[in-house]
Amino acid sequence: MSTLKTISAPRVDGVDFTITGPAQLEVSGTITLQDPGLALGPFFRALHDAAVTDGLREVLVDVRKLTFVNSSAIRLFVDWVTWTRALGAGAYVLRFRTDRRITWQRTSFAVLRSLGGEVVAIEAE
Amino acid sequence: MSRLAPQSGRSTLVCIAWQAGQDPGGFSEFIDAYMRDRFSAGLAERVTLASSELLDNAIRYGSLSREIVYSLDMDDRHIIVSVTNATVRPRLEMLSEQVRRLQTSPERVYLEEFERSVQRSGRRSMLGLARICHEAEMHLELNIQDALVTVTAHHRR
Repeated sequence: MSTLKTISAPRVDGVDFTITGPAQLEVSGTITLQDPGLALGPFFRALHDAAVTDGLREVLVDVRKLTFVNSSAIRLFVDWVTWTRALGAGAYVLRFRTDRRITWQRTSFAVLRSLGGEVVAIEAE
Repeated sequence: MSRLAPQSGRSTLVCIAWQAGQDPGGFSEFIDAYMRDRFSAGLAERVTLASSELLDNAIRYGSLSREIVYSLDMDDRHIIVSVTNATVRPRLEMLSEQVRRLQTSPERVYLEEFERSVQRSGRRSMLGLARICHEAEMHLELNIQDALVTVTAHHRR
């Protein structure tokens, strides 16, 4: 039984979250809320907690259709990486599937990869 | 929102003013769609990013005493996003210092700010201006007149 698959995605204008498998999330649209942490932070935390509960080794986050995020939304991904890193030896890998043609994805995820060390992997298509 | 008269000397594509403190919901999406209809995806990305981040800063840190004015202009060589708002002296000093650092070394400041955001508590990343310079490859300038500050981001076309 996958805990992650039971999580309900929040309804927020402009962005869609689809849990496409026991360890896969697809995000599409844009995140331009002034305070996305308020609306989306608990969802990201629930995904992290579920990944830990399910004993996952890897979570795939497909952001190729997430065309724009404001800097406050980048914080959501920074926090997720931070929580995962804090697990130490038991950490799962956050694998981001990105679109190399989208500038914010190219730059932001490259830095996240370098800050996250072994817990972050990037698949740029 | 009210539409303002275009400035002379360059072509004004969009110019909008609204009450400080009012969330311009959907404005970034509007700018993105407007740009993608007329220009390349790359240019649309730059302008959307600069518009979103500059407005966010104006709303978050600006004073409520004056309206916020956004404008998107173009001339032969540049595309220009500017936001004017009232603010307070300590914020002006912080802003001036950050813009000065970004004018000197945008990539280094971007990386430093990103690294700081990992350690910073709260929900803000404080990456907005650094993203404009590094990700959107736009140059930032400040114009301060009394308590009014105009932050301009421009990109050579």
